Amino acid sequence: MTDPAPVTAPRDALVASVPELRAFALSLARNPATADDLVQDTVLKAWSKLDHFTPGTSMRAWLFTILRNSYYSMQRKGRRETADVDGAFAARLSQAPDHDGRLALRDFAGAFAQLPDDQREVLILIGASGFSYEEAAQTCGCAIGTIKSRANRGRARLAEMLQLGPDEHPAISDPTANGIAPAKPATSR
Amino acid sequence: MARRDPGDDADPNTPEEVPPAIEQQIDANLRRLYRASLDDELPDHLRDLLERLKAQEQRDD
Repeated sequence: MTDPAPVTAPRDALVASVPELRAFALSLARNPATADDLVQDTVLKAWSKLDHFTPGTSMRAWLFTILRNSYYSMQRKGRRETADVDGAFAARLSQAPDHDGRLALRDFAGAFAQLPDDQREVLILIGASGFSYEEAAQTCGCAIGTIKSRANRGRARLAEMLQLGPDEHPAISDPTANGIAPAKPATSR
Repeated sequence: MARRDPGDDADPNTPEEVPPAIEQQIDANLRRLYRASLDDELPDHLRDLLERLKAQEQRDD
């Protein structure tokens, strides 16, 4: 009898997910200090409650749910720092060379930061981190139709803010972006 | 079944999708934005936290 395929230990999977958790936290909080607090809270909670994690389910979705709940809990308690909407979040990108694509990305980041929380989180989950609509619905605790509505509204608002039209040259895109694939393609479109 | 938030904004008010070309532009930039965050180095206090937790796990084992 052969040994089963090696399975990543849950704690190792948790540690490996920290960069993604931080990227999600940054998109939610738009403030690096608040994002780091959220990640720390999430890691501590998840580490102490790993026995609540159901093997065979998505560790990433579980962790993102904990982080998201922490974010909204922080907001309800009034602990949220004032988001520096297009300051700290977009300025993080200013370290890179000032070629056209990067400058355009800063514009994009500024517009993205102005979206409501529910649209930002859905766009990051679906558009960037490769969550399926089902996973995003599970993470956000809402229906799949709600996720699709929020994604549509968010994209429409970004298109409006950035004055994107269907016939317009893709000024905010660049060829290097095409090589960055999400971890898993979204399904159920 | 997924829990529904109060004030759920699903159908029938689902807005129209943006044209596919615009959706592609937006999603490409979302991925670039996300990638920029992924490429950030973790701050020292988060790295220290992970090291402490891993060391604690080894002690507990």
